[in-house]
Amino acid sequence: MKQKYFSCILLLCILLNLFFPTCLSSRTSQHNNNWAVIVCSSRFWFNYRHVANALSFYHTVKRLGIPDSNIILMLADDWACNARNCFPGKIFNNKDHNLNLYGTNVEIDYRGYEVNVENFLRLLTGRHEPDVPRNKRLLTDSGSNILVYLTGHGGNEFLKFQDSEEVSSKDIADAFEQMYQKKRYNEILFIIETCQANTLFNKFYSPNIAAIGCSELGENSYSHHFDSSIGVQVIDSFTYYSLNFLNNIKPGDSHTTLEKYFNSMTPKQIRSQPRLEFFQFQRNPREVLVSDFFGSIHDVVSHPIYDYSFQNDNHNQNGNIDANGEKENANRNDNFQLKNQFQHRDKAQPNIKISNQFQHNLEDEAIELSDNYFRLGMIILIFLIFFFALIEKIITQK
Amino acid sequence: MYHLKYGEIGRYSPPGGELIATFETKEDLESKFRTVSRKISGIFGTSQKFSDLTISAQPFYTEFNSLESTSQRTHYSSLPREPVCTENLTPWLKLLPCRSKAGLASLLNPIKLYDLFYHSMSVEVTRSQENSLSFHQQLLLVVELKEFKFSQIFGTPLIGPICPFSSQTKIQIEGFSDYSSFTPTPEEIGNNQVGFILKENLNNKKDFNLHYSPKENTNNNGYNHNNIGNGNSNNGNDNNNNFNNNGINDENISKNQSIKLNRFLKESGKIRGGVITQITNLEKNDLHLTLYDSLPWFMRVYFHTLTIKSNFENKEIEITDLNLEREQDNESNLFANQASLLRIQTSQDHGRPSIFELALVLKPGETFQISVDYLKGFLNFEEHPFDGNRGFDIAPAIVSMHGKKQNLKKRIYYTDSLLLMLPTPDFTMPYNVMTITTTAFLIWYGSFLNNLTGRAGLKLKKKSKAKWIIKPDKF
Repeated sequence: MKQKYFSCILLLCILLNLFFPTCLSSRTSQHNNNWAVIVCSSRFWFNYRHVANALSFYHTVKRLGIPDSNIILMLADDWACNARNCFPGKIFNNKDHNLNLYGTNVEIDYRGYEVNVENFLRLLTGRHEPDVPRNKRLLTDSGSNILVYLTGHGGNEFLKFQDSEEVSSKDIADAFEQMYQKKRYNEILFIIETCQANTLFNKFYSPNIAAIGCSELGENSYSHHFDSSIGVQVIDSFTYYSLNFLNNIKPGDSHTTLEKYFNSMTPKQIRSQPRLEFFQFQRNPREVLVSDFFGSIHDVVSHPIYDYSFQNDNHNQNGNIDANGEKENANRNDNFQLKNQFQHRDKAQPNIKISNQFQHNLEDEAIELSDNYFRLGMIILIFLIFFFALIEKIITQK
Repeated sequence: MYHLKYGEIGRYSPPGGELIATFETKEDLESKFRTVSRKISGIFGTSQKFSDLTISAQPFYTEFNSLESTSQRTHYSSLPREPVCTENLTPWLKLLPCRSKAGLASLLNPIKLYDLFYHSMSVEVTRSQENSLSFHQQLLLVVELKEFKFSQIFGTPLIGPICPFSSQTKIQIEGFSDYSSFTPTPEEIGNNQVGFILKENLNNKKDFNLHYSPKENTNNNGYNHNNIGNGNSNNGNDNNNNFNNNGINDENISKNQSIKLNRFLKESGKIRGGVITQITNLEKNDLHLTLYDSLPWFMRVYFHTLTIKSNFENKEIEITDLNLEREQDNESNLFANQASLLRIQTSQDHGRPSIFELALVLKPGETFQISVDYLKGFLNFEEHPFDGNRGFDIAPAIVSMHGKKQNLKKRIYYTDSLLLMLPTPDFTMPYNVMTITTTAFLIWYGSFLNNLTGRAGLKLKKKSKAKWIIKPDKF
């Protein structure tokens, strides 16, 4: 009787193990924290729009939940308290001046001369001198999703830092490979907004990187509009239309995909060909969400003072007359119509490139193999038990 | 000079950023300072250049901390180029226990703060002998007012709760004696100062909008000062927020000021130049001052040109070379002569700066003019900053007042910072040189290679009409 009980229980356990998948494999690796590296690599007052781009993304990322401790902000010069700024302490990305990007709570980690190629690559690879403070380090681990946003002047396979030095696409690709070897990221979204931006990710060879560039080889990236009260262009087209889309995303959004974000900008609007490319992405690229990179999976409680209330540009009913003498509303309506017109045409040829989709890693194969071995072992064990039970019956009968 | 323009109410900071660190022992100061400066610049969002050895140095005879004599254990670094903006205010506010959510600090709005005549923030941490830590944060603002009202100064009255961590929230206003003109009425009334203690007012949910409307017609067209200090001590939660306000008219400048400082460059081209510092004694007594001047290595100072002239005498003042041993620190010996040279440190190229420290005795109304000449040095290509054509900012000189007999507080004064234009190279030259040499090399080598490896027989053969050809005999 005891033996029967024992064998029944054993059988049940084995059956359960057979019909439920084993816990050995973890094919879908989820991230457990988010980081952002936002770099404005240009110096001098006339590059105001680059810092407006960078701070717009900084704002978005903060609003969607990434805390300051997980954001590395590199601004190559001081614009807000510059002597040339008519609005001290304020940086705008729109000539309406409806949002002060600098706000009351901004933490800049690398400023001025510290924004250079060496520090950028040291930040990515984590190879710092021993007494570099904590806020200048990218303390990511293998479960971190990192958003890397670069803006400035660039060209064919390079990005210019501070008007003096360049970082090349090979450097960045090697830095990402070092990060991969050291398990410093889970997935990276690399957004770059310069002239000929797409060339900068020609050389990536590490897995799990998604890259968005705003212009092809031979194309320039254009600013969006000019602000006569400040005297310079205040924002670039790519960032302007990105913000139009991202402003509609709330924290905790779980259905807006990266593809949708990318398709919201048409080449006609930004006057250059953008590209979204996935390098050896482990999961389905079409399922990658915007909030995987722009938001945080932790619940971040933001204090009411530090809340940034956004006003969607599209809904801003402003009847002012801008520098060109046209009414602003008319401009926006035109853009909206153009967008509708060319939406379906671009859908026919999406600028998404998916390279090496669903690549089976060696690790996955090993996991599958061991799964099969285990299952085989279980089946053999069942047969053995039945066999021994039979033998016992025969012996006891005799 | 800030104290001249705005009055002497607090310790003004030099332009940019400044870091003063005093260590327990003299050994290994540079590496300790490097660690400290990196961590602190990480906290406050300033650049890491504080630890740069070509800038930082040790002033031996300037005492920053009035509590103890700290000579030769203090390391000092000044960055005049450092921008000060919201990203520096944010961590400063985060050090307060209630940040900017409660208490007096909720008045601080960076949009207003960075639109003023003068603003500076400082944090001072000292450890006393009983091993208790004193943490003092100071914010100094110079505001021009049409109307003395909180909502005018800060853009908002004081709404909201008082910080529950502070044992006392106090607003102290100096320089006004007619307390009846204040609304609400002050609790403390002293000699030329009034005080408001804010415990109950705000917890009753009433806005605190300090308003001063003088009943008489007082001439108040000068500058008003706001000094918000916040002190924490480890022993008890002794949190004291002081708000000082001082009204100064133009006529009061000569009354309150002790010295007048000026410093400028005497330049004559891209090769040589000179630095001149002028100090005027505005007091009625003799002043004992020490001057500390540190010039970076690319200003190659010639110390034999160090001269001091006075407006009271025709000839130059003789500089007594004291160059004291480091153990001797007797104050009475320092000021025995009119001008003594306390210390000289010569510079090292691409290394440490050149330093000289003088002890001066000024009679009332006397002006000293201290001048020294230099030759401009060449920087390596990599040492030029990214905007090298702007020039280099030279840190201000520090004048510190030593006064035991006169019973003055030990005060520190800073001169203006200077902007020095060095001969900058043409930064496009490496690119040009590479382009030209590679082009030239390519042309030579390319044609060389073509000639060597080109195929024979590609030219068309002309059909010769002559049928008989004399071939040479084989030798």
